[in-house]
Amino acid sequence: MADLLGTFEQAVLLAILHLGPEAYGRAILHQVQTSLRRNVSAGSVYTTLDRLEARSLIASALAEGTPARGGRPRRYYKIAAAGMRALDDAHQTITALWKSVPWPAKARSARVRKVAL
Amino acid sequence: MAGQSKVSPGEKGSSMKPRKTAPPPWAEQLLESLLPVRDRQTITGDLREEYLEAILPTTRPLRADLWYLRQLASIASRSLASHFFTSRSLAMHGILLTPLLLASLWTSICGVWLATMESILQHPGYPTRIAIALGVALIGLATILSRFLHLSTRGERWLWIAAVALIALGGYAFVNNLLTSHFEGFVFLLSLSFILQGFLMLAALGWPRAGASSTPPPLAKTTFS
Repeated sequence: MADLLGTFEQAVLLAILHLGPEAYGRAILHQVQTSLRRNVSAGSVYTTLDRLEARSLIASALAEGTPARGGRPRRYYKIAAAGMRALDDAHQTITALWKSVPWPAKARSARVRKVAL
Repeated sequence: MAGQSKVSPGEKGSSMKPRKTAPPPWAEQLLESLLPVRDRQTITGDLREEYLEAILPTTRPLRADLWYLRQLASIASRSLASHFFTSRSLAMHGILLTPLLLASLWTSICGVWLATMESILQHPGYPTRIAIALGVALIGLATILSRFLHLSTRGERWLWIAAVALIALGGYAFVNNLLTSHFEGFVFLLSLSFILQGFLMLAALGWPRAGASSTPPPLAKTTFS
């Protein structure tokens, strides 16, 4: 199996998938913050984007900027075929892992602790 | 000029403070200098857009500036860490990276120390020697900044010249020290350090590339291959 994606990498890939053609740095940062329900630093998102692109899981292209950006270009991202496969793998692995544990896990662990005592 | 605060037409003549329209210019320039050429425009653009459209309207200018500085620190630290620890970086620089860093640090410290001692002792001709010592310190510092903080690719040409100058200076001091009647141990050590750093710099920098520029590639329409 290829290297499994980390949680943050999955969050970034899913943000790109969710945003579709509007997936550029700032929008991805917002989407990741929304989906993880916490503040995320811009540095962590850009580093992850760089890493994912180096692994050919995503592709990027430049487009014209807006006046609010001082005319600076935007870099738009798109998931590559390898990225989709990696997301599928991650989803299947997580699903398979959780299948072996009855939900909610908390009740089970409490029962085990009780038996141990 | 981009990055400067401007007054909107409606505010002319009023007692209101000029409304901020950009992050602190120095912070923006610092961020640009810390980023790889590929990301300079896009990431600073993203942050400026966020600053103007999301942060500044909801908080005080000082807090907005602090937000920008936090983002700067986060991006700079991660950029630095990834440069040191990614396999790509290690493959590119191989075993040269650590010796070059250590040699640059060493010569910088030596340069500052020599300049300090010369200014205290004030032997004849000391201003020239202070200038040379500070020049050496500056080269060491510039090497560290340029190689590890992505300062500029155009600056590499200057560093290439600086490397040759270091080798020449080290060689001159080495030969002179051998020929003189008073052999000085510290001159021997320093001259070898200069020569070593010069050669390490040349090896790490490679031959100066013709037409190398720090400007990003021209814009294309959003197309994905």
